[in-house]
Amino acid sequence: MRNHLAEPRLLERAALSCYQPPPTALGRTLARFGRPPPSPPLGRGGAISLRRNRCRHEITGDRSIILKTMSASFYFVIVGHHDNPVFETEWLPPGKVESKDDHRHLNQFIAHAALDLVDENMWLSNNMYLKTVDKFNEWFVSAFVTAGHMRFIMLHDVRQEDGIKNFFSDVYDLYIKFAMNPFYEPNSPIRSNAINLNILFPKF
Amino acid sequence: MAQCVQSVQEFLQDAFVPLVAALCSDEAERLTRRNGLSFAELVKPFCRLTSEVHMRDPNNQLHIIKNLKIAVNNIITHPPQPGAIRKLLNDVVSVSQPAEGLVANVITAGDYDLNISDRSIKASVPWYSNWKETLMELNTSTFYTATTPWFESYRESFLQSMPASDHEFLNHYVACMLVVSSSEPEPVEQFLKLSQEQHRIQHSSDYLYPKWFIPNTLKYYVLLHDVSAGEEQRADSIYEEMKQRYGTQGCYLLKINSRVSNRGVDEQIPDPWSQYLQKNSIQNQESYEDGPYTVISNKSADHLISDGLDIDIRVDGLSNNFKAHPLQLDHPSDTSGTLDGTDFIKTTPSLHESKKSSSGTPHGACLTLTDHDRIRQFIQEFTFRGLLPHIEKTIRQLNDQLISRKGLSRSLFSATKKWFGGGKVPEKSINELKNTSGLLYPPEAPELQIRKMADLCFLVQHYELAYSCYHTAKKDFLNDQAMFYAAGALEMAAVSAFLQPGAPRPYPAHYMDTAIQTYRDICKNMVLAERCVLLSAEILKSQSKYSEAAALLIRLTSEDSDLRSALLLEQAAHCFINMKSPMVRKFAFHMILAGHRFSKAGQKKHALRCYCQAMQVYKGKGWSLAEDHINFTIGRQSFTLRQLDNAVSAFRHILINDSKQPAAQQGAFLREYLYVYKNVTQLSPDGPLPQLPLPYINSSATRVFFGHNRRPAEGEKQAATHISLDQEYDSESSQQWKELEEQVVAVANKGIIPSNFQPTQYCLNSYSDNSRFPLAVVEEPITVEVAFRNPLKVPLLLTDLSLLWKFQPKDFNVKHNEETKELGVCGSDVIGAEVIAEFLINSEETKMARLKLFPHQTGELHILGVVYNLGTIQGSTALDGLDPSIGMQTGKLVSNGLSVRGRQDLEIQGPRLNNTKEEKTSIKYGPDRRLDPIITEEMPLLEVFFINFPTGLLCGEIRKAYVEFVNVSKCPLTALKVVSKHPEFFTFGGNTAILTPLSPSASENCSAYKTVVTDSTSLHTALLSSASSGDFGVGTGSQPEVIHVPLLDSVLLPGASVQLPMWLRGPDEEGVHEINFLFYYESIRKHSKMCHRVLRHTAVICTSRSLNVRATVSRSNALEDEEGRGDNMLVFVDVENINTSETGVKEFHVVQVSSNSKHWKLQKSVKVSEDKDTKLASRERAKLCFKAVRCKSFDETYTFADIVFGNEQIISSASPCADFFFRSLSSQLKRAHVQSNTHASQAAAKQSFEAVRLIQKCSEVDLNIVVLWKAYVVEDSKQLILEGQHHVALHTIGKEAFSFPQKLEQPEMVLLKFFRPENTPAPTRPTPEQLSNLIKTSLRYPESFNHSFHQKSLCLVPVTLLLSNCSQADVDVIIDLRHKTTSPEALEVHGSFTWLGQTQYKLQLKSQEVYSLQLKACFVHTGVYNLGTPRVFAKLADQVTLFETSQQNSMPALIIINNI
Repeated sequence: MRNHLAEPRLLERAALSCYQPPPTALGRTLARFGRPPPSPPLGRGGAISLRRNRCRHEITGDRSIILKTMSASFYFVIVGHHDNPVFETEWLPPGKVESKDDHRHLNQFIAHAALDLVDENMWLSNNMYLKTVDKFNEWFVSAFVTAGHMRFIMLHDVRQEDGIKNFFSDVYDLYIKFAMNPFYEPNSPIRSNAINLNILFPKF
Repeated sequence: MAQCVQSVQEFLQDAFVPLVAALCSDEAERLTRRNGLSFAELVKPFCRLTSEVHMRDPNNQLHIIKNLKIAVNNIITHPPQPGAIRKLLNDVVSVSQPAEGLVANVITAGDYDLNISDRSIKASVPWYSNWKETLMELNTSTFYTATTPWFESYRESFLQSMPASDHEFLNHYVACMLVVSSSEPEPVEQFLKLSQEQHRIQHSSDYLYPKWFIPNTLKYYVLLHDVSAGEEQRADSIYEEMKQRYGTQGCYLLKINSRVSNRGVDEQIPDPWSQYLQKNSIQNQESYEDGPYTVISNKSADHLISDGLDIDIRVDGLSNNFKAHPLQLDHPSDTSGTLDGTDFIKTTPSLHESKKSSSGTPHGACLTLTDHDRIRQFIQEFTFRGLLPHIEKTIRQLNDQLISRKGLSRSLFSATKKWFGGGKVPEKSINELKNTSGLLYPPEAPELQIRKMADLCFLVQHYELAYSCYHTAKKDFLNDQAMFYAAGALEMAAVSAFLQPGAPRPYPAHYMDTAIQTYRDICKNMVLAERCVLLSAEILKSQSKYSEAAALLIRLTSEDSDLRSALLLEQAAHCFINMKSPMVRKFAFHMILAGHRFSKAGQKKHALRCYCQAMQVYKGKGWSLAEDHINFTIGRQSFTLRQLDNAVSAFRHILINDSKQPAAQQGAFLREYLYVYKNVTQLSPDGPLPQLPLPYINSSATRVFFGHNRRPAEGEKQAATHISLDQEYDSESSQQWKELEEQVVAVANKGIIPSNFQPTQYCLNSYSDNSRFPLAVVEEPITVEVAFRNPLKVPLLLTDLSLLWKFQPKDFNVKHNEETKELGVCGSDVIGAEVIAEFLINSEETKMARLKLFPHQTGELHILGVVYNLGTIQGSTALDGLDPSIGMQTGKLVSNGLSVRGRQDLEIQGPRLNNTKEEKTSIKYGPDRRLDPIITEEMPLLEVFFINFPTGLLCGEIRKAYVEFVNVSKCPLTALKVVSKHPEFFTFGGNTAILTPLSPSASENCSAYKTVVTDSTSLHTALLSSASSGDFGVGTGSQPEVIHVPLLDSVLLPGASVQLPMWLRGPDEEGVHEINFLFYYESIRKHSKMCHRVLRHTAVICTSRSLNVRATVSRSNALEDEEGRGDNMLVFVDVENINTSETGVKEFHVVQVSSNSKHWKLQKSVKVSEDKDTKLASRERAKLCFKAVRCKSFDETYTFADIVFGNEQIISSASPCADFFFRSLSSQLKRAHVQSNTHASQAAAKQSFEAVRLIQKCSEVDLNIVVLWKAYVVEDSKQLILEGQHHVALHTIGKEAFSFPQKLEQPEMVLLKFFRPENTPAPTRPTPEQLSNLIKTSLRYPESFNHSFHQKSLCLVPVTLLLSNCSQADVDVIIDLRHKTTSPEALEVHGSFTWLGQTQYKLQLKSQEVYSLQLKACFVHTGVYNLGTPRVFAKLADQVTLFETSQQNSMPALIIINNI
């Protein structure tokens, strides 16, 4: 099972270092699961280092438009292997800063409850992006599962598939880079400013 | 959904049972009430039939009924109020709680172990690897059931309290029992009356409630006979009469109360009523407070039928509720009187019952087991003989009706519909659909007949027939667009389809869905929708369709009923966890939602339970906001349930975890926590102090300080800095202090450091060595500095903060007194504790608190922790940005009154041990005894003050200051010593100094030196004096750094103070100097624990540049001086003013130059300039030249020679001049010693070394020059004269010596070498330079020599060669006169001359010997010749051939030969 993989983080590294589906653990695993090797993460391949930067700009440009035009609120969380939040952030629409303060815990509840459906859906799909997996009141829950079984969960109150998909793939890039840091203990909370800023940047 | 006790079939059967009404006469009621029960209650436990019953269906097929249950209820004529129902359900739920102390019911789901049934929270997280196994385990596990009895009782009560509705007949009365007592005078009359009564209730339009199944209800006549009271014969005869009148199948004689009440109370009779009546009794008590309604209901129940009042209620009800939704058929105002009565009829007896039960009488006190059997028999008889035949007959009738109508009326109906209503059909819109759903059939409408038949079939468990009837009815209703009726039919069709034996068709879940949707959305009837959901969910659950069940349950949650939503959500949560792949997180979330709803519904215990169960999933994962929310709710609920300990721990979690909450929220949490805590402490005021979680204490940062705070400087007096808590720890300086203390202790103990020596530690911190118990002195305070940290965003206010301690008194002098007495934390006669009234810690601040203890007895003290009141300040958020000092200035901070007293322990972990192998491989920590001081006996306490102590000096400046020593203790002190790394910095004066302490003010303008007026004649010649170094305390001990303070009698009595003069000399290097003094003293009495005490002082001196003195010494060419001695030298002293501050120092005057040496002395000044004294303005330089001669040397006595330039001689052999001289000398010696030691060790083996030393020695001198100067300084337009001295030590001839230590050039960074450098061999050969100094040569000859070459062609000139042995040893000298001029040009210039006579001499010169050799030079021409051609070779006498080397030719010795 994928769960039995010795070192999920290695997969992340493998995914980054050799973008071709590697003949290593990743390839084997994916073959075993019948999941086709991910087209170089999210359809972006080729010369990595150069292209990625460019992509970032494009993407951030797109996203900033999306997020600016929408007065929606978002809550994003990366969930680790032990159902622990690794990284959390939220965006409120410009108008209501902190007004939902007393309901902030609700975001966590919803995201956490959606994990059951994420875990169920990821076996049903060949994609990392699982689209909307759950819904609670006005919240939609979209999810993304990395090869190393990190779960990205996004709560949003407006349907916005493409934007969220792009966002997820950007975060995935960032996350992989971050996970390559030998000083980063997998599954431990991310407190780095780098990842914060990079994620927050398009918003503000 | 949680597992239920009943199977799904049982549940569905019991949900719908045939209802039988009971109408009792007053007398009969009285009989039953003797048992504390009403009639309906009396029979209730026996209402389930134990045997199978057979019945024939309309097709004459035999049909078996199993486990039939009937319900007997007293008639009540008004419908239940929704409010009352709600209350009833609420009570039912709140009464039913999980049993405490059950076996833990653990569900393992995925990564989680969930403990469902009790409150203990346990969640472990195995990682994926065993997830598969746990899944498998789960499916096979027998333990994964969780029961929710509250839900089952809720469901039961809910179904029982369902008001009868018009669209169905399931809870309409099928039969009626008329009960009369045999003791009545006219029982038969009474039967008639009751019969009429029943008829009136059913058929009169006054009563719309209760509802009856069919117009001619079965009446069953029951004669109740009290065996204990009534005559049996009479009863029998009445029964006979009844049998004749009503037939044997329509009446029954029931004999009860056969027990004589007082007898056999102790007999154990089972009480089958308890399980049925318990919940109602509570509802009953509540109903007292229910206002007029309850009162009336009680009345009406008492009288069974009340006329006016009841109608009044209905009118009330109408007027109140008429405006409500027209479709709410169950509403009392519409159906008026559909109360199924169970609960409210029960109220009356249970009222009495409750009174009885309070007096201790159980139910059924007058009933024996035979009576129980009789009642069971009665019910069985009634069902077999009365009820079922009646039902069978009715079904048959209805069936006949339907069949007969099928052909005609059905078609007629449909035809009429087609004809009259056909046009409308296509126009039906949704709105109309809704409207038509309000269609009401008249009670006897044929559409309802089939439904009626279906219901009857259902009640008697004939599900196949029921299903087909429901199905037909459903079609009819849907055709008529009677949605409400259709929904009812759909619901029951689904249920009966499910219940059909053998399950010929799958369960039509969509029927249920439609029904629920219709009930909820179109009819707005939540009660019926709920019933549907309950039924359907149970069915789905039985088919393992958990996710559908969960969806169904969740869909019904709504705002109108929190209790229902809560229960359904909880069931949904259980559905999630019972799924094939358990959805634990969904479970948790829905438990939270359920808990939220429970708390809104006032079900606190259930809410708490839900939250606690959900907590297991969230705990420790990092979902901090969620966790905070849960903890907060748990805390609140626990508090309201008075589970204070739980509340406290829950709130504690919120506060001590890294909180992401905003400040306001934290403030609220904190206040709540404090409030709860306060309640806890109030409950048990005498209990131990609680451990408070806030603020955090960084226990390893705790510092302990022993001793008083130092007095600050008073005017000119400056106290010794000692040590205080304000000083930062500096490992370097603490190491220095330690070394100093070791030195002084070594001196005090005659050179040996005692083995148990431990450096005194006044301030203990995490760096100090805390492995021993520290020593504190009685009556001296102990200060503990505790580092508090406030993790919250709101300020914390600590009040009445003090230390917590334990004390064990001990007398250390008396050994046998081992009695240890443990004292409590208070007892100010033993230890006094300082209390800090208010201590504010701002948000996220780290702050130190200093707390003091005053020990009054000797013993062992243990400081345990701190005790304080924890509180917040009012308007904490507002104060956030404010300067806290404002609050402090105003003195009293406004506490909002909420504070709790508690403690926190100080537990300090010692350093990790790493010495033995065992310690290295395991993790072990040493002890840390910082907080466990031993209080020892009194010790003297010294205070030192410095008077007129300068802060700035010129380099080499001498300043006089005073030191005051005060003994502030009650013990005399002795053996006062001071030790410093810089002994050349200060002196107390030598032994020769006058000890009469001049007062500081008197000596202000005097010179620091001792002076004598000299006469002018002695100018430029030396004045001699002598002193030995021993007089100045130098050179006696091996430790020149340790200086004894010259106290009178060497004792300082308690309270006494002594002022001593102290001279300071500015260090030679410019810059800021920190000079450490360590004062050492002892008590007169020796203690076992503490031998000495020390006091530290760090003086900071800033020095600025003054003079730079350089000196060289060279051999005088004049071999003989006036006295005819051969040894004299010239000393050149360069004095340069290098002071840079132009404004301060105007000029320097060199007032005196002194020499001191064991062997040499200055003799006179060689005048270079004509100035009287040497003035040096800025950047000027003067050169002085002196002649030095050897003087007689006595052992260790130094000869001082002063050459005075002014008119005052400074006696250099007295204090302080000599002191500083000797100090600088000793420090230099020490330095040299270190160097020579290293050399000696390297070369000691060499035999040749001795020779080298000898040769070296001959160029050595030991002359020390002291330059005494005055500086004229203008400061604040006042002229000051500063004095000072510089020392130059001359060691080697020809080598320049400096007054200030030469800075060694920092070696450039070199590659690090990893091999041992080879030992550089010591020079085995003396350098030529050294050898050249061995023998001093000079030629004596006339400068010009006139010779007449005409007369004599050869000119002979006598020349004397003076040879002087400078060394201390015998030297062999070889003089070679042969010409060996290598330079050809010298030959050209000077021409040549020859030496006559012996060309080579071999001589031996004794030490210091001067030898003159007469030579003759022979010239042939006039001219200038260089006579310096003799080459002198020297070697040490005892060396054989070594070291023979040429002497340097010094100057050309020119001679002019003139021709006359």
